[in-house]
Amino acid sequence: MKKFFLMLFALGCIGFLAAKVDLNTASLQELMQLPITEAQARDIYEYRTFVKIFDSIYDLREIPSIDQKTLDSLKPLVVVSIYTETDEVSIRRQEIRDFLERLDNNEGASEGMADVWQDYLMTPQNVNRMHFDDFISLPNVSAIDAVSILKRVARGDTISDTRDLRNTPGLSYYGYTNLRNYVYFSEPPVKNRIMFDAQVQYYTRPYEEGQYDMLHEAFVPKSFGNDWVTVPHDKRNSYWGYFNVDQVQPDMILKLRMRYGNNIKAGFMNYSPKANEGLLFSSEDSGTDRDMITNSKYYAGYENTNLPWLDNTALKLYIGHYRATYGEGLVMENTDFYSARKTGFGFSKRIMGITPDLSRTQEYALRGAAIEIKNPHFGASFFVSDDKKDALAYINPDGSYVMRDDFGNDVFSDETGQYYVENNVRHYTYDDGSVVHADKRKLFSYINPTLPYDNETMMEAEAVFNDVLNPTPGPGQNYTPFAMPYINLATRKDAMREKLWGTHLQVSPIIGTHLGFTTYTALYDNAHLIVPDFNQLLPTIIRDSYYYTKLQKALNSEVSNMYSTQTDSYSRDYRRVIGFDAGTVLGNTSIQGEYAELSVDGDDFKLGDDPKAYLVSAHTQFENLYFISMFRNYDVNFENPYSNSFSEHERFNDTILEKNIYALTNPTISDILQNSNQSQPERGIYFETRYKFNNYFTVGRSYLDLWERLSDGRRSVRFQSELEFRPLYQLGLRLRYKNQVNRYDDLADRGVSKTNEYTLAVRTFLSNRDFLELEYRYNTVLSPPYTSLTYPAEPGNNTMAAAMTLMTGDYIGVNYTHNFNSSLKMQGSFIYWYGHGISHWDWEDMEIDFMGEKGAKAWVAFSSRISNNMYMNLKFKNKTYQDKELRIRQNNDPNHSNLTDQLTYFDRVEHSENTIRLSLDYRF
Amino acid sequence: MLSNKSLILIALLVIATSLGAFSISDTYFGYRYPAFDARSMAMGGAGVFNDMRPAAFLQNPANITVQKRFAGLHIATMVNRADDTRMIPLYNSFDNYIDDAVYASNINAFTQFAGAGFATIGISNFRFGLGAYQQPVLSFDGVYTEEIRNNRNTDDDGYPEKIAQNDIDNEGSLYKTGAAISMAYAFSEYVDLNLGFDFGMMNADIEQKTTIRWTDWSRQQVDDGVVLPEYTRIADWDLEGEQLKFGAAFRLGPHFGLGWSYIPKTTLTREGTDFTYREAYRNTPADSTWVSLDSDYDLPSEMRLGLTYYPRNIMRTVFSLDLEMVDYSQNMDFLDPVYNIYAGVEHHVVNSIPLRLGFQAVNSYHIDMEDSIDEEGNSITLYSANKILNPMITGGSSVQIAKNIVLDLGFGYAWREYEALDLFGDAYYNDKIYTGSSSYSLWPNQYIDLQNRGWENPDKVKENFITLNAGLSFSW
Repeated sequence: MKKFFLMLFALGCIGFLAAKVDLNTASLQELMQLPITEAQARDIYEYRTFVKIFDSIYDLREIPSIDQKTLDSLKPLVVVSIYTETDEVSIRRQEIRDFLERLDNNEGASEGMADVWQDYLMTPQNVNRMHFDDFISLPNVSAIDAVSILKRVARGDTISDTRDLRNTPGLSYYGYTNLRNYVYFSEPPVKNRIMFDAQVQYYTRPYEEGQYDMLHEAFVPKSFGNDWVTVPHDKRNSYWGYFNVDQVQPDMILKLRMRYGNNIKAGFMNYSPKANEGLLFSSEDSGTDRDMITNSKYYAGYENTNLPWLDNTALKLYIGHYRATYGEGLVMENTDFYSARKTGFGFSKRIMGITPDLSRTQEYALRGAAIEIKNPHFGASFFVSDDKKDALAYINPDGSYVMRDDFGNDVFSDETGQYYVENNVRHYTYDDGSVVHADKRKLFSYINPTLPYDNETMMEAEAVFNDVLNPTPGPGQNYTPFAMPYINLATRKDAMREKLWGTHLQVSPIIGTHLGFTTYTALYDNAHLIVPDFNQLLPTIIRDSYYYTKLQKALNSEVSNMYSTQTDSYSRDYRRVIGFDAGTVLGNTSIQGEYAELSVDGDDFKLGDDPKAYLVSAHTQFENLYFISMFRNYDVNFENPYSNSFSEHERFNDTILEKNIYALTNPTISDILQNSNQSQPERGIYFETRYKFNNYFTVGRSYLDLWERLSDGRRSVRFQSELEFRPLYQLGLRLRYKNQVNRYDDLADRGVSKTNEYTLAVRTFLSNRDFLELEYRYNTVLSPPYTSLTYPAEPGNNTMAAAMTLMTGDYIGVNYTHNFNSSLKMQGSFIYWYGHGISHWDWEDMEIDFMGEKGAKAWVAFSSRISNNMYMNLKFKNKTYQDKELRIRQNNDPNHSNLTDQLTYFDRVEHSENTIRLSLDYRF
Repeated sequence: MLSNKSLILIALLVIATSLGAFSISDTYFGYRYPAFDARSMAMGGAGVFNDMRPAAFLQNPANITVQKRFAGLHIATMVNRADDTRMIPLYNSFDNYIDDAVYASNINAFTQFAGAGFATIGISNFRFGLGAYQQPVLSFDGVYTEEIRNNRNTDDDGYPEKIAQNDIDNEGSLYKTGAAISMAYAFSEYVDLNLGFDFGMMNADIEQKTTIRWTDWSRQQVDDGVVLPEYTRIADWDLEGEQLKFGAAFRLGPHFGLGWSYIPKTTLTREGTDFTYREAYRNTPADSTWVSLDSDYDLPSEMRLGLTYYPRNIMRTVFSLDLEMVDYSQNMDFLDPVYNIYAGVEHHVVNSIPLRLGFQAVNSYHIDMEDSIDEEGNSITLYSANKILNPMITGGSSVQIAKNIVLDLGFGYAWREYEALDLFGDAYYNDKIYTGSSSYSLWPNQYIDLQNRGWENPDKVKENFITLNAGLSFSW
């Protein structure tokens, strides 16, 4: 409700002014008493109601129907009283609205963290009472910044205002500018009261390229290739065709958060991924119905940073969905989403501890209860979760689960009962005479499926595909039996019940120095995770023995080293990870690190005998310079689905799951890669810096990474640097160079590739915060030719020599931002690129887009502030491109195998994608 | 060789998929026109509570008195450019479906007009309004051309010969001419309740023509005396009936308005003829079939609920959001109700010139019908219903021409993608049926396998619609 009070110009003039009409308080009838037309009176009233409260009489001239003459005639008859907004929430929202909107847009990338930061923007924390973790969880605030403030407060000093904060010795300018919006000094800007945040997002997003390719893979029997077998071209033999994924389908998010100050919080979110019909649109037979509670996320919590019975101690208590993040994310940072080079510094921050979670994370969401208590010297948190997880399951030909007994036997059922098979003989009893019994499902791993359909719908599809894989031989036909005549591995929703408990304990003897211990244990009540060893892996996931030898790549050890709960050497029903993290600040350098171990066949609590991961980093900060050094090492068999640490690539990148989808028994096994959230096993050292010489020259974020992929020993180097020259404030010239060499350790190897990328951008900063940028990029890739580009594109005929091929590509783009006024902004971009095997990337307003081969793209986004508490963002994008398939197709024959000498051209194949995103945010 | 039955099946397929509208495959329900109020259209079509333009009562009859004007007049024209691209699945050398290849593109434009007027009178706190209008409701327009070519010489970049041309030419719209009344009671200056009722008479005169014509080149390839049979189908039918509409609008103060409208299920009568003619060929007599059409034609019920928000902003701003339910389940059991979203914003950016932006997500049903035979040998019709999302982005502005005259301009871009059965089955172009020869005369080699494609390899259809709407409003 609008609240304002009016103070008259001068109390002494009350008598005189009483006769005048106050433009800010007069009713429409009173305005009509003035010597103006009824329409003019209505215009004045509506200007006040729908545009703004009058600051002065001269504002009347902004009304089209009021001319100077009318204004002159009104001057003696009207007054304008002073308007002051008294609603502290409105005032605060006005102060921080730019930040709120930026975070609204950023939600996709930051995965739930924006919610937490928005809460702290609205109801800041007392800078004089904050703890170390509170500071370093804020964007762009470093450990050094945190220590500088904490030391000052520890001395008994009290920071009284922003100017005082700026004067804190050791606090960087970036730290100060980011911190000041998230803190208060003596009185909070908003007293405790109920606040709501509602968000609706509607997004018709195309599938990512890898997902697109995966869903297009068709089920084709191995018998194809024999002249006398006619394989029907049938689009329905792929998941894409079967589910008619061609249709435009939106992602939808409905989110509502409620809180009382920073103390009591609750939230609800329903996310309907593409192809799911969502809350409003679901129908009984859509195949996407899942229990609404299962499909939604929710939480309720209590936070108190000033417990009455414990001095300077904070408590957090949450039930429902929450996130847990500790150290460098090696033991626990639960998210479904991977982001490359997540340093934990600057803008790629982690929010430490327990936070409520309404992000799109579903598979690695924690649902249960969590408690966190901490004071400056000690912190402890405990969390439990009980949730059903989607899994890649071993299935029988009828789609049912393969079961597993305690002795490591696969158990099946027939009318007689459960049995296991040994030497082709069914055994219904064990050697001791007891009846065969198995009540655990045999699962391969966690999986985050691209398709949202329920198990029954997927099983119907698999039954159709099984028919294709295993056709009945015709008269005179003699098929060679192939390895896997049916789909043996498939995604199953809610297949695995996971009970997880974990804890984090931390001591901080001196300011800025801490030592922490983190562990979690995930219990699998109803399942065994069974991943075959390297030799057995290919027969398990590849449908045709023809490929076994060809795909024996060392890299696949990433898959075979996934965690099993039952192997030849042990059997258990849990996964346990333990780790230590520590950090300290020395002068203007902070040093931090984490060590984690996944219990496999060693002692759970003995260090060094199990797969491990560790990371150490140092962050040095000067006023105009920072420097990050980091060393990381993640063992190949450290497979922790709840880790999310720094790396160049996501786990399973480049493995059979990415490169050889056509050979998999079920293409959707590739979802393990497509939606991977973990880091690839790497050992490497990384340096990053940014240095502002002066107002003219800045070396932008530059980094050098030297790393070895531990699964196959490939060594790579990547370097990127950018220099900005800003001769005038309004003009910036930016030069960026990127270089990456893969397999630099052995240049004779076929896996060598060398990439160079040069970018020149001219950026103009126009008046009214408008922005125009022209960008040109040129890149080269020197690499062995892709086998898919060779002729003929068939396995076994790839006779091309492994000579290096130089590919060049370029890109030209223009970006423009226009602010109509402070409430309406338009952003747009046009890009044309030519890749030739190189993919480009581009930052659209708040999301990254990858562009392969050749094409053009244009997008426009309008950000409209409808009112002080309502914000709308509407974005439209068209991307039209060709890809390399065009050239492969010249050798294709869509009609008949005997037409191989008749080239068939399809030169009008197009990829044209329209994307629309509408988001509405309303706060009240 | 194809039997007559097969040819009839082909013809039925053609009939089944040619009840068109802007889009020739938008079957059965026609293409629903976007809002004829150009201002509302530019705001995504939202505006079930709308006090800004005379044509607002086309969406909700209660909007007559919501406007608080003495009288209003509105004329509008709409141009729709429809782009239809059809593709077939494409396989790589591993027999893997990898993508789709375009085989036909059609771009056509269609124009329509609408007009509306109203007058109101206020008595004490009451206001009464009466309006009349004419507008098109559904479009059955559609033009489509597809060339049948062989692939001779294409490996040398030669231009392949044209064998036949298939055309679909559909014309007609469902018009509604009606009157609306509205009554308002004002509780205060910015609080009032409006109730409206609309009665409309609907009629349509629709002609749908489908032809297959062989080229001179094809005729030259076959012996004299061989007839390559041409195919013509003309469906000429009328729709007639009445439609009711109820509306309410509640202004909750200067900043909020709520609107509601409801159209019950409407049953129209459908009468006309469906004539199919295929020439005689070889030993097969001509097929000349007249079918008399006399049936009900149902329009689903529609209910819309919307909010309009007039915030205080540094530029005059209006935000509208409507949610609509169209209950197709009343028409066919196997259909579900669909929910549509309309949202838009209007900002008076500078000198009262508005910038309007909007978005709508409207669902429609694409229905394919196939003739089949059940287990007992009886002829049955198989229906395939596919719900298709039609997203649209909109924009627009206005020009104040005179004190009481405003020209509104609206723009919309919509697209959709879906699968549909092939419009013209390939088997019809198998000239061996007509020549009696064991080899092709029109095709470059004998390996070509001219089979009708079914759902195993359906067309992928991509459609783009660009709609321009101009409306002139007079209000007093």
